[in-house]
Amino acid sequence: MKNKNLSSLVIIDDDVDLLELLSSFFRQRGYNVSSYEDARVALAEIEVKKVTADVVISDLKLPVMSGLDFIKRIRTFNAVLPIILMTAEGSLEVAVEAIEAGAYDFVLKPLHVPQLLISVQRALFLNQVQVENTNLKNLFNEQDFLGLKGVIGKSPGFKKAMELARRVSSSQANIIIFGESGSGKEVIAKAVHELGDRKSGPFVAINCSAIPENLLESELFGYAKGAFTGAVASKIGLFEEANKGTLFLDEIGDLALPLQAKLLRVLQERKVKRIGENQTRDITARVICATHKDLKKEVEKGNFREDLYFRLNVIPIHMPPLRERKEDIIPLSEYFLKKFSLINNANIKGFTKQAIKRLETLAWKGNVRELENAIERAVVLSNSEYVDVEDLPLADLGNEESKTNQTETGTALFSINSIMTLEEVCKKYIEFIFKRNGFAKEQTAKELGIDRKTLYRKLKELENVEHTIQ
Amino acid sequence: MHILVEHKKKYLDRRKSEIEELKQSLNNNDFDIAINIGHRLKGNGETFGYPVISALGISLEQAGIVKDKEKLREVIEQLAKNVEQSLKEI
Repeated sequence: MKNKNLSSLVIIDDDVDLLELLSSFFRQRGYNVSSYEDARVALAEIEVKKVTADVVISDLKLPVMSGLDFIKRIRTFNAVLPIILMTAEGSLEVAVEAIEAGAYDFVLKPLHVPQLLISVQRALFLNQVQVENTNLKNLFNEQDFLGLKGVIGKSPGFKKAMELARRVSSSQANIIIFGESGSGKEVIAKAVHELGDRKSGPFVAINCSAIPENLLESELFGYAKGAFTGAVASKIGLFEEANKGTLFLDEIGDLALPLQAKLLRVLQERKVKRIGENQTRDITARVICATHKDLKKEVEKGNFREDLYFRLNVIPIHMPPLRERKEDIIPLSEYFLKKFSLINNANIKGFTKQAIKRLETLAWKGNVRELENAIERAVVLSNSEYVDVEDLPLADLGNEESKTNQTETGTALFSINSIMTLEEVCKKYIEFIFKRNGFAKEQTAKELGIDRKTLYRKLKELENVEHTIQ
Repeated sequence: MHILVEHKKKYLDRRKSEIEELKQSLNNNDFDIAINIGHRLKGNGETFGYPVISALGISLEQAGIVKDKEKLREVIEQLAKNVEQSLKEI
């Protein structure tokens, strides 16, 4: 946890002896303590934020304003502040009344102070979780472009794509989204779903290149019990699962030819047949496809059915790569910084000027996904309140195409042309896998047989090695 | 929990002045003071390491509620002795 501040306690008790004892006890343990004999004074100072309170400890029986009245008044302007009540009246009824009024905990006098400390620590943890939860909710409830959550961009290219998505959202026409890997094709698909009249239905997404052909068929169409070995129960397919909603087929250009024929039939007839069944079922899902490939060229090469291409290519939407919409880099970076700071509980406030310059000048061949990964990594590794240039990628991995060979099928081969140190080989190999996976960290870490944190650490270490070599 | 000597001494000194207040209130037939002080002692005596003072606090509060002057006088006397003894032991 970074830059953790001292926790602030407010203690209220008209028993001066206990007030002094508790104040001294908690101050010795690093707490900021504000003590009051009168609950009304404490209430007023908390309300006008004259005093900071992460947790309140209050006696129940107080002159003028009781502990219960204090809680009720606090709850009118602060619903989450944990309040621990102390009392010498140890009846169950009083405890229930206190908890119902909004007390976090209830401790009996004579006090066992170490027990009170545990209660305070737990209350602080609860408070921290509640604050983080509220911040995360606020972040993800932020309404951005076209009133959609987390849709960020102001460049003409992005606006054009989103505007087209808005216009076609209420139509029934087939949509295909073209764009490089990581450019945000799924964001467009979700926008079409959210802005149209199917938004109350499910949004089901599948990456056609990530699943073997046989499995993909059963995923898409479902199967009947006993249709094949292992089909111990019937299963509905994604076409049915997305009924009244949207089915997003990503990387449709990688779909095997036999499945292309089946998809074409479904799109024409609007019916599916589960594997091993004769019965056809109507589907109401809207199908949106996306690909990073040039489907026209794939048709010419014989890799993609022409009839399916024409069927899908009714309304094409082109999502420009990030390098063609540089105006979006900083807003996206700020969004990711906020998101990952909250997730990692890091108190990072922004970027230095040099870091902003670096962000704007990198080519981002891996597009928004690469940018997101870079910001997450920077947040995890940064030691200060501002992400600096050294927290960002040193080299533009996407520009190092010349250092790897590409086969016709797009599978990159890792090559070493000269004698290298072990560190250099490691660096090249990690970069190679990272790039081959379109900068997808999960997949890269998986292929390398390490977890995501180790991947970040390795990249950071390798950057340091590069500094030393240079 | 270890309570610092300075806290203990301050605590017992305050009890001494409270005992004078209790005696005065008894002469004035003011039982509210015994109820309030008794309630407070019940809640704090044991925390400072003096369970007997907590027990005497309970008796003081109960005797104050039923306005039992004899019982109050007896409890105040016991409290005074206990406070003096505790001060000597510090």
